[in-house]
Amino acid sequence: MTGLSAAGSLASAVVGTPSLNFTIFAVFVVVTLVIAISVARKNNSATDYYAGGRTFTGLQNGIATGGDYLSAATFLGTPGIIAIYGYDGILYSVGFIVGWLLVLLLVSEPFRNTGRYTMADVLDLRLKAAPVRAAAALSTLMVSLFYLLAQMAGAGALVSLLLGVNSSVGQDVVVAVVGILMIFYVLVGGMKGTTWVQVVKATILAAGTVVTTIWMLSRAGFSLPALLHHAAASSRFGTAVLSPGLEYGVNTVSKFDFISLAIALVLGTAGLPHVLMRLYTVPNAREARRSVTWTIWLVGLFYLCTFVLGFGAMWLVGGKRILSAPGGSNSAVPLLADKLGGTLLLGIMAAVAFATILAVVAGLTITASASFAHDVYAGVLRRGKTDPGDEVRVARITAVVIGIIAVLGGISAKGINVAFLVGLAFAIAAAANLPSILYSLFWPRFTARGALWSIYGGLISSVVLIIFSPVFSGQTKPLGGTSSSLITDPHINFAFFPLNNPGIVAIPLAFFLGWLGTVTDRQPADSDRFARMQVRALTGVGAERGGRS
Amino acid sequence: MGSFVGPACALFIIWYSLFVIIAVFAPGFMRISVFGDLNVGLCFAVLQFASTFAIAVSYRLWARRRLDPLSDRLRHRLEGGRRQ
Repeated sequence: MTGLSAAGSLASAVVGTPSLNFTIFAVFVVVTLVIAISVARKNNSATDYYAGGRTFTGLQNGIATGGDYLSAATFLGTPGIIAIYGYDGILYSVGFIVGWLLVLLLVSEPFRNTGRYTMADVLDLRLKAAPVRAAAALSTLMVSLFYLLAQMAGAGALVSLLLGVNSSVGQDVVVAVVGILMIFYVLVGGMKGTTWVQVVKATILAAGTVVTTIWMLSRAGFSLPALLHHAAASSRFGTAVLSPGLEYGVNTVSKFDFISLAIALVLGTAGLPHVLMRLYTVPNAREARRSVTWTIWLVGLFYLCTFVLGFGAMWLVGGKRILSAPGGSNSAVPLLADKLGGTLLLGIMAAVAFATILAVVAGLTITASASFAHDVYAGVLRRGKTDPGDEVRVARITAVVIGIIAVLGGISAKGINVAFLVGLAFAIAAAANLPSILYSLFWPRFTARGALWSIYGGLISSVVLIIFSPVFSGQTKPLGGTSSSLITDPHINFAFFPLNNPGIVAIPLAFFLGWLGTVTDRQPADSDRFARMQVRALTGVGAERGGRS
Repeated sequence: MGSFVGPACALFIIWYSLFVIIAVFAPGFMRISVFGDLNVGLCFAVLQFASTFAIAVSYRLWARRRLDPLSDRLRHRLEGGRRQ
């Protein structure tokens, strides 16, 4: 995109009325700020800041967790991929929902009962080792930052599409405003404020999505086959969009790339630190179970709607128009809303998208700041000898630092398809976090050495494989669209790992290293500690209860 | 406690793997028409959602019937004479 003609086409690509979009968005910001300030009166203890006082019900937290999970990357990215590649985008939707069963069946209840604020708490209760806490904190920070980057990268493109901010500087300013607002939510509202912001956002997201979906279906006479027929007819790939293979069936490498992504999606959800941390905002394990079940309903409903939205955008907007819009495939949903309901529906969906970015970024920031303050600062540097007020002060400072990093990252990562960046965050979460969580909850022999091998092994292997993958250099997209390598110069190519997603190698490797590090450990596992943890995981005896303490 | 959780995990992982493997290595099967342009692949995807909802609901029922009483009994014994 260079020269005056490109700038002209960008200006004409703006849809809707920027002032209306802006007004709806401003209303959301004001409402959520009022909520954040009003719930924040009593927000000084560590439990208030990190876990919202543990007073949320299963339903409230379930909706908030859904809000955390349905990030801008999935809200905009998944229907976008369906609109361009058809069925291959649906493979994302399925992976995103199935992974929740792992959270529900294996992780949620024991996790709630054995930790206090962070994932590292669970490993620490089992293994009692400062290096393990440090490793878990590092991987939490890495996953949160990767995820943050994905969210902020979407913000810039969205701004240009919806607010008519076309200049690069203007977009950067809006990304910075998003960052400042998010820091404000976290500093003032803590986990309680952030949770309420998520509840509001998830509710309007679900409502907006369902309304648009029904609207879309009515255009097709409420007939799914008719919708599919029109979609396929208006795509340049014809009926090929209705079955798998367009993006991932090109060759053997792309097939394995898809398998890698599928593994990362289904195993990654249970390792996402901002989702896991939500489990601590409810009073006990039964509410945690209830909350995950509500999340499954909400998230499932949303991803079923993405089928209709994606194929609907393919039909009514068309792949060419979507790809040439400033946000690329991420602009499919806003463009569809404009086609269906005109400027008002577009304004509402735009506000939902902004709200989503703000809320998820706030959730990630609080997770990362908790991990740094509670695990690194209080747990490792001060060896547990801090008062909670001091810890919360450090958490607030960390939130500001992370906010600044997110803004800078968002400015430099504009225009990458965000659903795919999220796939990478999932791969790191699955490789670095999940093996040690499952081993410490269910394997009596697991030792601290196994945990260190598995966390560092998963983290390092996934990050190194990403750096030497086509994500970083040497990628040309067969179906057009923007080059998705971070280094766009085609002459620089150090991608010796052929897959975009490292999951297929890194996740099994991390599980293997956890096993190997344990069985070669001369120090035997503390079986007493495991037995005590089992009892606590089942009964919650010793776990921090919620409610008014 | 493994009477439900273990088999349920195995079931959904195998079912999901089957979906992924067929989508990648046997896309022809997914192309078979069920009703007009609605094909096996799209039905398979929707069934993944249905099975996820079904497993989640049956886990909650199982946990309420089996897991919660067990957890209550054990906690009662551990907390003994103390209140709560």
